[in-house]
Amino acid sequence: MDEKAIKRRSWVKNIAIIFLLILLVLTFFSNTIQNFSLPQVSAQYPQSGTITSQIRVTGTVEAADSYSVKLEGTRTILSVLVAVGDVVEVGQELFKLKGTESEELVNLRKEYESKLLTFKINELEANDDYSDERIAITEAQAELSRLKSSYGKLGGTSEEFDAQKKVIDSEIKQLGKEIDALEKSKQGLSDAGLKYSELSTAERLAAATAAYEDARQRLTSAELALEANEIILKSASDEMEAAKIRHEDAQKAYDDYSKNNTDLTAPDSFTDRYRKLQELEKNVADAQTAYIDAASKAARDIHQAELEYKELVDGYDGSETEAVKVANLNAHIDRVRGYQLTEETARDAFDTAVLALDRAYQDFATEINDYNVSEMVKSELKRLNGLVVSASSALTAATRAQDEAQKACDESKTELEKAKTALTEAETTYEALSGRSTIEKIDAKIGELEVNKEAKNDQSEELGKQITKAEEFESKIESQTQAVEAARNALKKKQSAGIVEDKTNQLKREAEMKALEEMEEEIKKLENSSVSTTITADIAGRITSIYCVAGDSVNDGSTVADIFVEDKGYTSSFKLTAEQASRVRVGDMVGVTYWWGNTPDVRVIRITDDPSSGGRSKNVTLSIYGSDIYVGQSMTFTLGERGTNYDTIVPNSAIREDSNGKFILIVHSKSSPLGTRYTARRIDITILAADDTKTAISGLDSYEFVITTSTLPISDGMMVRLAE
Amino acid sequence: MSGRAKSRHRKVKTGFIIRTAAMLMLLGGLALLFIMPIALTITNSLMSQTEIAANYGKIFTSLTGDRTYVSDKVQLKLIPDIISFSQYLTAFVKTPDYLLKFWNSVILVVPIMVFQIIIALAAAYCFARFDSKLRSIIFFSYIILMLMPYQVTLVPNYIVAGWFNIRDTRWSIILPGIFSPFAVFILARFMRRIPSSVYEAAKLDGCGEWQIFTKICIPLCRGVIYSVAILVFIDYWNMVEQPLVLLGDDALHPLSVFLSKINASDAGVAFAVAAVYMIPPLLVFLYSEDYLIEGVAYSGSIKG
Repeated sequence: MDEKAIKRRSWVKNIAIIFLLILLVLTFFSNTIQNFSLPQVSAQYPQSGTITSQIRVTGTVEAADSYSVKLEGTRTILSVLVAVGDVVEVGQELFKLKGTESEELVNLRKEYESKLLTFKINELEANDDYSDERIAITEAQAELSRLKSSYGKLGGTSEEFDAQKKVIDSEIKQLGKEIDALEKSKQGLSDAGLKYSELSTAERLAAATAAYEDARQRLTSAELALEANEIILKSASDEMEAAKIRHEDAQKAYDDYSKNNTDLTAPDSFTDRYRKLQELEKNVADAQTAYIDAASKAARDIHQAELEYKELVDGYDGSETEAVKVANLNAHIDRVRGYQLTEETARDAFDTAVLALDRAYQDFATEINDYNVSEMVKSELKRLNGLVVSASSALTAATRAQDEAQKACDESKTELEKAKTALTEAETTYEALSGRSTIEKIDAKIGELEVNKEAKNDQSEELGKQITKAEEFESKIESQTQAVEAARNALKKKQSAGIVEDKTNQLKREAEMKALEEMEEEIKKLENSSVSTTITADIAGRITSIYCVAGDSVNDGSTVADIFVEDKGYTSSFKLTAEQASRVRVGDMVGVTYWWGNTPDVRVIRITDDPSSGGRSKNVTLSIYGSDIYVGQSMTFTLGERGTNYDTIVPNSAIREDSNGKFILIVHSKSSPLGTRYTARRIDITILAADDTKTAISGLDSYEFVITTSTLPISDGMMVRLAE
Repeated sequence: MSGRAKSRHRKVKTGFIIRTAAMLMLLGGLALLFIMPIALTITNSLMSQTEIAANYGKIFTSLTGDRTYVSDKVQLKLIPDIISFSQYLTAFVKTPDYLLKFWNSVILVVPIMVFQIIIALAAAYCFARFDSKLRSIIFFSYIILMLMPYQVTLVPNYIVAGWFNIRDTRWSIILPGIFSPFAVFILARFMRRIPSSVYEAAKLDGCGEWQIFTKICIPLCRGVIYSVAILVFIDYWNMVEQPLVLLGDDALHPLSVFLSKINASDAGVAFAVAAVYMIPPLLVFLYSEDYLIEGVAYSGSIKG
C-alpha cells in the first residue's frame, strides 16, 4: 500500500508540476498569444485645424436668360436657317417664310371693311336734331378764338402793362427829383456867387474853403457827441432795466410775505393785559401774605387753645361733671377747628390767586409771543417796503437819466443834420468857386434829364393805352367764353331733353370709331409684317431650341426658337435643407467638382424658401459663367462655408454611432505584470463640424489616443493591440 | 448442510443482497447528488457559447441580446451537443486575465499556508510543552477566535490594515492568514498527545528545545501538518470576502472572486475556469490524502 501511495503521490506530483508549468507558460506567453487574436487598431492624437463644411449637390445647367422667337401671324416655314447650338447675331436670319399674306391679315381686312360699311350706314341713318345748337357753339367758339388771337397780339396782359407803367412812373418821379436837386444846386451856386460878389475870386475861394473846413469840423464834433450820447443812453437804459427788475422783485417779495403773514396781528390790549398781570401778581402776593399771616395766627391760636385746654384739664379738681368736661372739650375742638378753617380759607384764597396768576401768565406769554411775531413781521415788512421804495427811487433816477441821455442823443442828431447841411452848402459853394461845377453844366444836365423825362412820359401814356385795350379784350373774351358755355348748355339741355337712344347711339358710334381705328392699326402692322419673308434674331446669343421644321405651318404667336443670351450666363437651381442652406450665403463662391478645363465662375445668387416643403428646404440658384458649358449639362457643385478653426479634429473614420449617439473609441492603456494592455474605451462626443475627411468634435481631451481604424469590429471595453 | 440450513442461508444471502443493493442505491444516489455540480461544471465547460446560451439563457436574460436561441426552460445537460474547447481557449488563451487571477490565488494561498504552518508549529509546541495559567488564557482566547466566523473579524482586520497601510495590498490578506488560530489549535491538540517521556528521553540524549522541536516534534506531526496544510489550502483557496473587502484593485483579486461574480456573458468561461480552478485542491488532496487520513484518524499511539 505504501508503494501504491508513493506511486500515487509521485504521479500526482508530476501532474501538479506539469499543470503548473503549463499555466506558467500560458501566463508568460498570454500576451503574445492573445495579441494574435486581438483586433489591431490604428490610432492618433486629435489635432487642431480648420474644417470647411462642404455641401455637395448636383444640378442641371439652365440658361440664365432666354429669348423666345415668336411668329407674328400664321405662316408657313419655308426653311430653317440655323441649328441648335449656333451662335447668332442681331438681325441674322433664322427662318425663311412663305411670301403670302397671313390669314389673319386677310380676315382682319374683311372684318374691317364690313364694320366700316356698317358704321357709315349707321351714320347716315342717325337722326341728329342738334345742328343749330352745334352751329351756334361753333360760331361762338370761332369768335372766342378770334378775340383770343387779337388779345395775344397785344403782347401782354393788363396787369403786365400796369406793372411796367408803374416802373416808368417811378422813374419819372426820380428824374423829377434829380432835376429839382440840380435846380437847387444851381440856385446855391447863384447865391454863392451873389454872396461873394464883393470879394475877389481868391478871397472868395479862401472864404469858401474856410467855411467848408469849419463845417467839416462841426460835423466831426457833432458825430463824436452823438456817439458818446448814444453810449450814455445805452448804459442808462441798462440801469433802468436792472432797477425795474429789482423793484419788481422787491415788490413781489413784499406782497408774498404780507400775504403769508396776514394772520399775525399785534394784540390790541397788550398794555392792559400787562397791567392786569401786574395786578394779579400783587393779588397773589397779598394772598400769600394773608395766608402766611392767617397760618401763623392759626398756629398761635391753636397753640394757645391747647395751652388753655391743658390748663383747664389740669385745673379739673374732680368736681366737674362729665358734661362740663365734654362741653369744654367740644368748645376747645370747635375753637381749634375755627382756627384751622381760617387757615384753610386763607390757603384757598392763596391757591386761587396763584391759579389766576398762572393763567394770566400763560395768556400773557401767548400774547407776548404773538406780539413778538407780529413785531417781527412788521419789521420784515418794513424792511421789504424799504427795499421796494429804494428800488423804486433807483428806477425813477434811472428812467430820468435814460430820458436825459435820449434827449442829448436827439440833440446830437439834430446838430449832426445841421452840420451835414452846412457842409453840403459849403461844399457846393467851394466846388462852385473852385471851378469843379458851372451853372451851364448844370443847365445842360437839367435839359438832358427833362428830355428823358419827356420820353418816359410818352412811354407811360402808351402803356396806359395798352392797359385800356387789354382790359377791353379781357372783358370781351370773358363774355364770349360765357356765350360758348351758354350755347353748350343749350345743346346739353336739348340733348338731355331728348330720348336715351340718342346717347346710346352716340356712344356706340364712338366705340365703333375707336374699334375701326384699332383695326386700321392692326392691319397696318400685319401688312408690314407680311411683307417680310424671314424671321430674324432680335438678340445675339446661342440657339438652344428650335420648335419647327421646314414646311410647318406655325400659328400666330407660337415660339419657333429659343435664343440663349450668352452675356447673362447660365444658372442652376437645386434644393438644400434648411440647415445646409443656413451655411450658404448669397455671393459665396461655389466650387465645381469633376470638371476638366477652365473652371467656371460659379456663385450663389439667390436663396429662397421652398413653399412646398413647409420651410424644411430652400431653393438655391447659382450663376455660372464659363466656357464649354451648355444648357442641360449636369454639374456637381461644392458649396462650403468659410473654414473655422477647431481644437479637436479627428478623422471621419474615428467617428462611430449607435442608438445612444455618436462616440469615439480611445485606447486606454493599463500596465500589468505581463506588459501593457490596451483597451478600447468609449467616449461620447458632439460633432461641431465635418468635411469629407475630418470632423471637429467636442468632449474629448487632446491627449487621448483616438482609434481610427481596426482590423476587426471593436466595441467599448474590448482589448486591442496597436498597429505596428 | 441440511435443507433447512440451506434455505436459511439462502434467505440470509438474499436479504443481504437486497439490503446491500438498497444501501448502494441510496448511497449512490447521494454520491451522485454530491458529484453532480462537479460533473456539470466539467461537462458544461466543454460546451460552446451558443449551447450554454440556449441552456441557461433564461437565467441570464441579457446573455444573448435577442441574437441567439434561448430555450423556454433552463436545461441542465450533462452531455454537450458538440464538444468544444472554445471556453478554455477564451479563458486561458484569448483572455489571460484568468491566468493572472489564478496566480493571484496561488500567490495568496501558498505563503499563507506555509507561514501559517511554521508559526502554528512554533505556537503549538509552546502550548503543548509549557504549562502555565497564562498559556491557558491565551489558548482559550485562541479557541474563541477560531470559533468566530470571519465576517466578525473582517471589519477590525480592515481597520488594522488601514493602520498598517497595507490595505489594497496582498499583505492585508496574507498577514491575518499567517496568524490564523486554526492551525495552532489543531497542532497543539496533536502535540499534547505526544508523551512527555519522548521529550524527556530526548533531553536525556542531550537535545535542546530546538532540536526536540525540529527533530522529534515536527516529524511526529507530519501527518497532522499535511492535514492542516490541506485544510488551510482549501480554506484560503476558496476565500471571497477578504479579497473583495481588502483588495480594491481587481487585478489583485484571486480567481475565487471572479467565480463569485459570474454574469451573463461569462457563464461559459466560468465553467471552464471553475474546472481548472478545481485542479489544484484536487491535486493537493490526492497528494496528501494518506496524511490527511492519518492525521485525522491518529489516536495518539507512538511507535516504539
